[in-house]
Amino acid sequence: MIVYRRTEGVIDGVRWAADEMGEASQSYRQTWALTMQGGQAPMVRHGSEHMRTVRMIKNGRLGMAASRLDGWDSLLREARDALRHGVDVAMDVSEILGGRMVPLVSHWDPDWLSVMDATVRAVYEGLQGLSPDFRPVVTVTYHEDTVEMVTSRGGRGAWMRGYWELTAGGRQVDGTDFHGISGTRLSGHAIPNGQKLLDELQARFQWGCSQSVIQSGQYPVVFLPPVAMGLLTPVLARLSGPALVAGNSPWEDQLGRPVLSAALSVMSDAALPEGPRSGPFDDEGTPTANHALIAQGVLKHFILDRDASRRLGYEPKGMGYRGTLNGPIQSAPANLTVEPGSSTWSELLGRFPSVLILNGWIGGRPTNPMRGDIAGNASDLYWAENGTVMGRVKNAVISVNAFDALREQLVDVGNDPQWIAQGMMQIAPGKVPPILIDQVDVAVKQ
Amino acid sequence: MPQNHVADDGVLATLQTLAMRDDVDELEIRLEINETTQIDTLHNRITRQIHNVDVGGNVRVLLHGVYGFVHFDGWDNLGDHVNEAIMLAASGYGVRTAGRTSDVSGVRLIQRLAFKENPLAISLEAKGAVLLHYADVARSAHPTIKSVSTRYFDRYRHLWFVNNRGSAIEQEKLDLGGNIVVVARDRQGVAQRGVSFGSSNDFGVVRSLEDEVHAAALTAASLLDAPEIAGGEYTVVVDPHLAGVFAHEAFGHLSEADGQVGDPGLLAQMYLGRHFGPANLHIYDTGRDAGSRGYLPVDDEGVVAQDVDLIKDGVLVGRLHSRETASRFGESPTGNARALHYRFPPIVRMRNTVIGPGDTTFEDLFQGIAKGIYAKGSLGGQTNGELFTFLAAEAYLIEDGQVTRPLRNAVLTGNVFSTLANITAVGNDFTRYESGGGCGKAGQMPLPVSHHAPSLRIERCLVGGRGR
Repeated sequence: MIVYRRTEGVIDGVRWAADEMGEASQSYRQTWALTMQGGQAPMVRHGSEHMRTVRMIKNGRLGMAASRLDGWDSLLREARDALRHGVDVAMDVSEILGGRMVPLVSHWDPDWLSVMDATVRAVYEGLQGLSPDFRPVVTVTYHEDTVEMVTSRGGRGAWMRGYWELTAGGRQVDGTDFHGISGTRLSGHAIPNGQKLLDELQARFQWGCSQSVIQSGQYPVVFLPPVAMGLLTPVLARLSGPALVAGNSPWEDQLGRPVLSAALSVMSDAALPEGPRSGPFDDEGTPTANHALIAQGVLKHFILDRDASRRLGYEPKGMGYRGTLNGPIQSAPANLTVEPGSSTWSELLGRFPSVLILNGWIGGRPTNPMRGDIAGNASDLYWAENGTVMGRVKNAVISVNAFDALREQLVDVGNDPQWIAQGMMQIAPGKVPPILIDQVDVAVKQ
Repeated sequence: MPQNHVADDGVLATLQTLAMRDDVDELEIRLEINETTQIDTLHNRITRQIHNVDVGGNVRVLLHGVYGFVHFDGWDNLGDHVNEAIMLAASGYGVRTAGRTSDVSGVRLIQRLAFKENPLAISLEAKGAVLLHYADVARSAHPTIKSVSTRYFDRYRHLWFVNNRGSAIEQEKLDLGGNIVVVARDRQGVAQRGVSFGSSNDFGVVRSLEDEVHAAALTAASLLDAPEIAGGEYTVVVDPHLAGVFAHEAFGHLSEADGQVGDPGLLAQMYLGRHFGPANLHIYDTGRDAGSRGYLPVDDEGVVAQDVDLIKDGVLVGRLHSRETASRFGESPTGNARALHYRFPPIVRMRNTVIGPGDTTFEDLFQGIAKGIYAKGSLGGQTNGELFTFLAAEAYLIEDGQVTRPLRNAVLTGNVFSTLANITAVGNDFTRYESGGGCGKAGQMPLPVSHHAPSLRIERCLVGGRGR
């Protein structure tokens, strides 16, 4: 049996000098996962991490120390030493107002291992049934982070974030044609419904069992949530601290002005129950709230951590997060959400006599985020006529400028958002609906 | 080959005692100390300066066809971690399959780093000063240069590995890299170009980059008013850097046996003896190229590195293995099982993936191209096995065999199998290129890899773009 106990209280023993400003935090990360992949041995994993970090500010310089093992005295000493050659900062530290006190108790229950096992096996076997040559891969993971923090301003708090992630997919190779599908579901307090994900994947596999041939040209394209999230990457880059501090963002003087289509509202939402980053504080101890970044196309807020906020003259809004437990704080939204529209799936497809549906985009990321140009090989593209999916389209490159697409070319926003997990290419988890973009350039190799 | 320079300090002996369990099929224990330095700069100031020491480890157990894997911080309670890994493997009762790994004999060695210039002996201040100097060089190169950001990292790893097959290995590793990104901006828009560097034994690669940084700044400025490429099929000449990324993305990943095992459709394509590309195409993967970021004399399953020919004389001749995949194919492990660090299990990864030199001169690569693209450098690439995409850092139009003008947003893409068949010339300008990026797979990113190559000419390459 796995026994997970936390006996530590809130951080104790951290003393600041009168002329010091600082924060001390410790984070615990626990992860349990089970993976089945065709042709390989299944794996059951448990990881535990513990990180202590001290950030100290004195005379506008930052001294930082982090360790997985060292005690507070050692870290404080190291941070003070680091002040001598520390980087210039404008940040301050949080008062951590409004938090509740520990102890917090892990939600992990060892009995979940058998539920994870049954879920993975059911989805795996369902995918195996698609075709004798289909090679499935299914993983279910439970993530749980606990953060404790004290600051020199008397701030004191602890909070916990936890969520489930079910990913499934696979491929069938026939000649040099790779017919792949994949999907992810997140949830807050229970393993996501495997049957729902399986149903969706089975339907998508059927879409692709026949192929459609199209010519190069401009088409309306429904960007399904995984690629719609990719379209937002340049938007996040223009909104975020590093570009603004560097003077690289063309939106630096656009607050209150329209920058995207009025059909688009983008938020940093820290309150969604199933959100991976939902919680009362960000990773700097700044209280979180829901902030409209773009409301009906109008720029409302930038994405700034404490340092970028102070440099640019704004109040911190709780948008400083670490990408990894030992990584630096970055300007990033909590959970990035796009407000759903009112159109159902069939209404989206019905807006044009024929549309393309894009769900996978190899290399679909901007060559220059500030400019927004994106082009990628469509790995998961379908052709629909009169609202009916006719088949899979191969050998097509989709090219857009994200800002043009989300400003002038946007036609409609779907009413069915899905969670996209934070990944190697994106700085935040997101809940995004399908987005219909017109006049998208498609180059096809015949 | 790794050399045994010093005596065991006792850690290995302790771990070996813990690993001697007869109630499991396989058991590995890994402990690590990782020391990381990272410096970021923007304009003329240091924006981030990090020095971290991670201490931790993992236990991997194979029991009745199920892996149990536990990772942890610190080195306490190792016996408990071994027991937990066994318990996790046993808990996978419902997903049990026939698991097996290749039976390799125990490897016992202790390997120390052989530095050219040791980055650990250089102060943070001195490292930061080098980066800020390059920012000065770039800013003074052209008035449109609005920002220069740099990133430097070095990671020293000290590892102890044992398994229940008698392996006991102590290793030191170094990975060093970074980049200098120059952004030009005017009323036309924004353009950027970068200089990248990397090594596994030498801080010297960070020095003397002034000429490259100056050239990058001028290139960024020249790209400001470049028109966007018109999408379509072109004959493309790619420089050695981009050719190396091509070898990695388009073919290297396809050669990783964990992507082939259990996939009868793919194995019907990737059978040894199949013809791929021109007769002088030679692609191989090696962990024995000291100094390259892909240097890996012993992998993370304790297997000594093998050079692996993937394509030789245009014919598919090999693939990359872990112990598990080697066993399933009835082939020998190749030393390609790698883990980013102790918080991940080893999976099949490339090391230094190389295209051997050909015999076509650089000038001849362009002969007869009425309209094509010359693509230089890489901003990254991606593959799903069948398809690949590269983002070229620079692109130029080729007209009647001559490079004429710059273009922007060059995304080269295609089908792996048909593109390999469309390589019509391999240059004689073989170049060792080490970048500061890395490879991502299964959430393990950035893993240090290298790719060395000559220029290539590829016919009918699909290029994305919105230009007209």
